[in-house]
Amino acid sequence: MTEKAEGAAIATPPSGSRFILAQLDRLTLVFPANLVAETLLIDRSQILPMPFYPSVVLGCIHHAGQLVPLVATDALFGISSPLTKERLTVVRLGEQAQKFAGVGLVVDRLLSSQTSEQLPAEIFDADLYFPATEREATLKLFKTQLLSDELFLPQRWAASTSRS
Amino acid sequence: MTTSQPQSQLKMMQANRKLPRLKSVGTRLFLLVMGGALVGLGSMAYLFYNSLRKEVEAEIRQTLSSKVNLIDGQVQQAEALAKSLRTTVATLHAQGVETPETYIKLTLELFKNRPDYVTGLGFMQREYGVLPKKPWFGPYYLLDPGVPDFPGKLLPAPDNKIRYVDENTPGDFYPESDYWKDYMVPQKTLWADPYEYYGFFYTTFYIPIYDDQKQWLGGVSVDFDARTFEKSLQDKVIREAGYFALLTDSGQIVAYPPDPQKGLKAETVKSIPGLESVWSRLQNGQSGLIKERGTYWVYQRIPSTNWVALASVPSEVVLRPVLLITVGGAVAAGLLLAGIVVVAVQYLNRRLKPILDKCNKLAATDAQTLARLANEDEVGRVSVSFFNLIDQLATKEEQIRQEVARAVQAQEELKRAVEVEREGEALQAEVGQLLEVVAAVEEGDFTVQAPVSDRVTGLVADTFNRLIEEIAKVLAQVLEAARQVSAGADNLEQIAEVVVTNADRQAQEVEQALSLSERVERSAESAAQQLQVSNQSLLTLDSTVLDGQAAMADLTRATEMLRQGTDRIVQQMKTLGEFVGLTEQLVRDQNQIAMQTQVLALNASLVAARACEQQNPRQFAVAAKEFEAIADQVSKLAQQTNEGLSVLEQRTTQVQNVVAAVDAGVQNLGGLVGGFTEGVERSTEAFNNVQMVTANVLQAGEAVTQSSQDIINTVRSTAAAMRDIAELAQRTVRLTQNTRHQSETMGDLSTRLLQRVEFFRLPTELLLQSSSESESVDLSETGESAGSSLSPTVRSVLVGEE
Repeated sequence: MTEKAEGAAIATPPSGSRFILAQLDRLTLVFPANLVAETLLIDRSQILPMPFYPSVVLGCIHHAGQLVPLVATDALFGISSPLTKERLTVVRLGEQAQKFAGVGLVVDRLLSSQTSEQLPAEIFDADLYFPATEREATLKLFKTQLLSDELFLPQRWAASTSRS
Repeated sequence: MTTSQPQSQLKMMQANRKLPRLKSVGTRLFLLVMGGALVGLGSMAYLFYNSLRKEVEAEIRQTLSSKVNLIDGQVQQAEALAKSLRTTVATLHAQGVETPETYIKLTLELFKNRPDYVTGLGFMQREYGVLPKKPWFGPYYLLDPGVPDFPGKLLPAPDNKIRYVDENTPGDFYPESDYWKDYMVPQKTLWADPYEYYGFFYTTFYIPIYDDQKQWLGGVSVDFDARTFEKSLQDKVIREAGYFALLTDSGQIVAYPPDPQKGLKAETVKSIPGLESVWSRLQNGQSGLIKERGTYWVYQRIPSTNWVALASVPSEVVLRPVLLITVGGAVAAGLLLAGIVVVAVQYLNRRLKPILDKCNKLAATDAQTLARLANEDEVGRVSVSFFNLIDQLATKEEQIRQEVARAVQAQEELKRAVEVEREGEALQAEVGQLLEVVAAVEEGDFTVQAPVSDRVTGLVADTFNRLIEEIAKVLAQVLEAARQVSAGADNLEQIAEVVVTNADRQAQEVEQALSLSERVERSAESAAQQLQVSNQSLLTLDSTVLDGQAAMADLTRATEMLRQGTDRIVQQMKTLGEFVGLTEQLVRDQNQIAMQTQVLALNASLVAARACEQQNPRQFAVAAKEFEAIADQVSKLAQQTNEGLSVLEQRTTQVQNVVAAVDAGVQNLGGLVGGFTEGVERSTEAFNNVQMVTANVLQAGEAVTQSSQDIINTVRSTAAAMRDIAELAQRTVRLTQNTRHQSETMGDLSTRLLQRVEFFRLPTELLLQSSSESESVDLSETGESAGSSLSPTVRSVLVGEE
């Protein structure tokens, strides 16, 4: 523990902070509670697809008087899930997510809410958040950096911007 | 005969005399031929008459026609004259010729160039017609009739026969005349009816004159002397008979040659005798022929004037000659034919006469034939006589045949006498030969034979031969018999021995048969016992089968109930399945609810976490509200869960009930199955019993079969033994028969021998000698062989047989 603490800057969260655990196939995503505004159970029929956006963006949904854009998190992390579910579990990000505030991330299911003490410490290692090196990990801390900036960029403009 | 002959001859002559009148062939022939000829001739005559008549009628018509043509020609000429005058006047008028002299001259010239029967020619103009300056102008020339005060003036010579009349002529001013008013003014073209004028008989032709514009200028008139018609018609019609007549259409006479005065007086049809009745018919036709009351009326109209020309001919004039011809011809032909036929018949009669005389002569003797002859005609008589002759011929032939037969018989008798003589001589020769043979036999030579022939001596020789043969045979037989008898006696001895052995064997066989029958009896008894046993077994079998049947019935019932129970269970299982499905559904719902609860809980925790961080009471309230909302949702979810659980509870109780029922059912089924099993066991038992019983029965059956087989075998052997016995008996019988036969034969031989020998009558002393010898021989032979060597049984059999 102390070695890890001396190494890279491990952002140890304050004690007593809660985390929401959600499952994506074999990967367990750990959401800090301050990032999560709420969790939703939605029907697939409620999703309104948005055509010009990358396929990771499933579409948007109307919830409690607001539009919630949905992101297929398994596609984002390169996890293939064969099952197309009718009822989706969505973790909606809160104000603290800044750019991605209000974005809903589609997960397989919610597991539980746990405190920081209950979780293993290595997930808080700041270096470990590149998806490529963390394919085998089963527990992963969610950070907004995992989402690319160009996620919500319409594709046409993406092409033009890439050219330019 | 002589007296009757003349009588019969008289009768014959009488018969002959009667004949020609009634029944002669000639008469009949004559009648037939004449009849036919007359018929033919009559019809021919009739046809001929008809054709002649038609010819005559045609001739009459032809004559009339020629007369009509003649008259018509004359009339046409008159018309032509009138027309030429008309044309010329019209032309002159058209040319503007206004001098009357021209017209007068024209008329005169034309008149001069007239035909003979035209007596007048002229024309009359209408007022200012032809000559516009002159009101009336009518030059008219006519032949002077020679009457003194005839109107008009005579022309100077050389035309002093011609008179000229015109408008100025006193007393004949044409515009006032009838003819002007009736014919000219109406512009008629016609021939007026004849009229009398100053003692002359005229008829006039009127024709109007027209100018270029078809304006009527006036009229031309031509007078015609009606007496010319008379002249034309004066001839006789045909064969110097009949007359012609000419009448107008209305019936006025124009010309009537028989009485010209009638014409002048303008009399009508009525004055011609016989015409009145026919007139109506004449008026209707153009031309034709009518026969009325013996007169032919032939009529033809003259085309130009439409007058009727008549020819009247009394029909007898026409028909009489025709009739005469035809009838006369027919009669002549008939007479001729009659004459020829009569001649022919007479010729026939002449030829027949000799034959008839001969026939009569022949029949003269026979009254019956005479009677028949009397009734026949010549041919009949001939035929009757002919048949009579034939009959007589037949009888004569019969007689001749008989005579001939008798002659033949006499000849045969002669031949036989000659033969008998010859026979006598031959006989004598044969007797000599016979005597020679007898002499030979006397000397003991039995080999000679007498010559045989057909005669009596031959018979004697034959008999003698036979006698010799007989004797020889007898001697030979005697020898043979003696030999046979000795042989037979030996045989008999042997037979007797064989018979003894056979009898012994028979006795043995009989004993064997007895023992076998005892065996049979025993086998039969055992078989009977076995059958009883099997009977009993079959009875038990029967009862067992009944049991089995009952058990099967129970079984079937139980199976049925089982089936029903299983059905029920299946149904209940289905219900259970439904319940399970419902439960599944509930579980899923619960799962959902749980998920939702989880989410809500997480949200709540998040809200709580945020609320913790918040210091603002307002935001606290917001958080609290959120909590409330979350709590509401949670409670709803909980309610749902509750409901679900209650439903589940209900369902569970139902399921429990169903399960209990199923359990009960299963237990029942278990009971049933138990019963089932019992039943099956019972059946198995029963079947086992059955099996045992059948096995028993089989066994018994086998035993029976065995015993019956034994019986059969025994019987067979008995039968065999019996057969042997029978055979032996038969052999014995045969042997005894043989023996008897042999003795019989011997007896026969001896009797035959005796008979044969007795054939010869021997002198008594020889007989006595030989009989005593033979008796002793007999006794010794038969006594030895027959008496000692035969066993008592055989002897008794022999005796029994005999």
